[in-house]
Amino acid sequence: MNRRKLLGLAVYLIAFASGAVVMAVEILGSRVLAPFFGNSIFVWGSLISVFMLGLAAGYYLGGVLAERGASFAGLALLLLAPALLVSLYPFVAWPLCDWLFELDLGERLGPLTASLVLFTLPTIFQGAISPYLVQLMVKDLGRVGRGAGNLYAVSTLGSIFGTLGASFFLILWLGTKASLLLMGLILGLLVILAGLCHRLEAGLGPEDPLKT
Amino acid sequence: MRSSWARARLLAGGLLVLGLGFLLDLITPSGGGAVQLRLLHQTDSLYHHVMVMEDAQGLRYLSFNRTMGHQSVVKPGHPEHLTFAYTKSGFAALAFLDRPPAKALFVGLGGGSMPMYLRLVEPQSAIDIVEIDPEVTRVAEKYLGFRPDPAMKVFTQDGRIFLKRNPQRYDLIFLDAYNDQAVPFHLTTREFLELVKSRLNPGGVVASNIWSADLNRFFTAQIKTYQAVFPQLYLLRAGGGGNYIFLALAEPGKVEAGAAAARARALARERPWSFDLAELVEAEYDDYSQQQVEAPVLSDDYAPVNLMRHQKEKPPQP
Repeated sequence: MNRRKLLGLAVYLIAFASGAVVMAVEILGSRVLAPFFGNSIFVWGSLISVFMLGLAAGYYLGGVLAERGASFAGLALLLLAPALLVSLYPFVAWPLCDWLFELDLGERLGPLTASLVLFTLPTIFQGAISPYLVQLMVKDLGRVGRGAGNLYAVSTLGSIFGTLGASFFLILWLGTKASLLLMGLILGLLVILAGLCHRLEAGLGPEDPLKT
Repeated sequence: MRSSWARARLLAGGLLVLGLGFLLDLITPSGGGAVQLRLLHQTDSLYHHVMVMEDAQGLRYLSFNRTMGHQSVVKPGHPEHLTFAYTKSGFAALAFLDRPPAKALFVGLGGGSMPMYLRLVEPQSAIDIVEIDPEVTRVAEKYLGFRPDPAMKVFTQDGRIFLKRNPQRYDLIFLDAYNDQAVPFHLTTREFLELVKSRLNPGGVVASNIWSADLNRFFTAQIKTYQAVFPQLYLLRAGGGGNYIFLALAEPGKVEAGAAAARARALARERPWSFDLAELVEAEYDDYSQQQVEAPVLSDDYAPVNLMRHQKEKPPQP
């Protein structure tokens, strides 16, 4: 397999895995919130809307960032932030929820605030990855629609995988905290993968990997 | 146009009959005849599809879903009428308590049959009820004969949040917040039970309704989790219909079957009970405090309750 193909494959893998992690964290997030805020429709509504907010902000900021030029080194940095943040959940999420519980903000505002505080920031970074990957992969403007479509499809398939994986299996196999650590670990591995791609790319011209 | 509309109505009517027929299958008592149910009320609440039905005898049925069993069966105006075996077994808690309950808490209102019965047999008790769904409370009052009074109040909240926010202690805590389709995991864990325990007065009793039609891993994990928190645990098989009543006490010791039955007889002398509690206690008493079960203790971190319900357990070796 030639190097460009390898890079393309890595980009898809990163899109898939980060798509999976976003949704797995959302499912696991409901387990974090439940002891403090229950698992009512308000909790789910809060959680989903906050993830959408994070992704929306991330798509926008990722687009701005990508316009200035995308590189695998930049991608590694973009992945590093959520890797660290998600790895912190098992240690900070419960005390933070406890603190927010004491504020007694009400059955709607309580879970909404907790979701905002806990999940917005890492989700922004993960949202930013999507447009960044498009920029990284598609250097030929004529093929940008195709490239973006492929990446969204792969990333959304990853999200399905993450949703089912977390709700059907991880909660049973590992429990919440270890599952969150695993998500941090997966993002950490993606950082390493992006780093490897950076080194691999150094020997190549700035070509469109789709074009091989 | 007219005829196709009529056909559609006929079809809808037919489907309704089919649907009701299915419900009849569900509620028909074993060996009994079919019960004709009339739909009195249905509405979508924040949490459920709440339905109230009535049979020819005037019994009213509360359901949360078309395919589920009934949450509650009541005879409005007749709080002495307890239909479900588990509601009777739940009152065994009174026989494990060494005094009348000055303060009792129900987590989960349902049709309100249990708090109404408690009001009947213990008129002096102050009763708090936590029900998450305001529509359930409304329906219980409007259709199911539930009558709150100044000493019997309903709080619209998640059970765990209510307990966390309220330092109030109780002599009796009834936990009945599961339905047969989904168990809220945050009401099953060691952390939750520690919270419940911290809200018990000395000598107080927790009575929990756990549904387990077949032996599954969730059921054994619940036994294990109760054992991890409460030194005393008694299981009552509630007529053998799939519900179990867990009776848990925070202090070490043992309530002998004979002592509990004697207390039940004393209660029956004080007030007329509609069933023989002493006989029930003698028939169903089972001390589980020291029973070894092979299962994980459920925690806020690890409580895959709905997945565990699909994991069958081997029956215990004799």
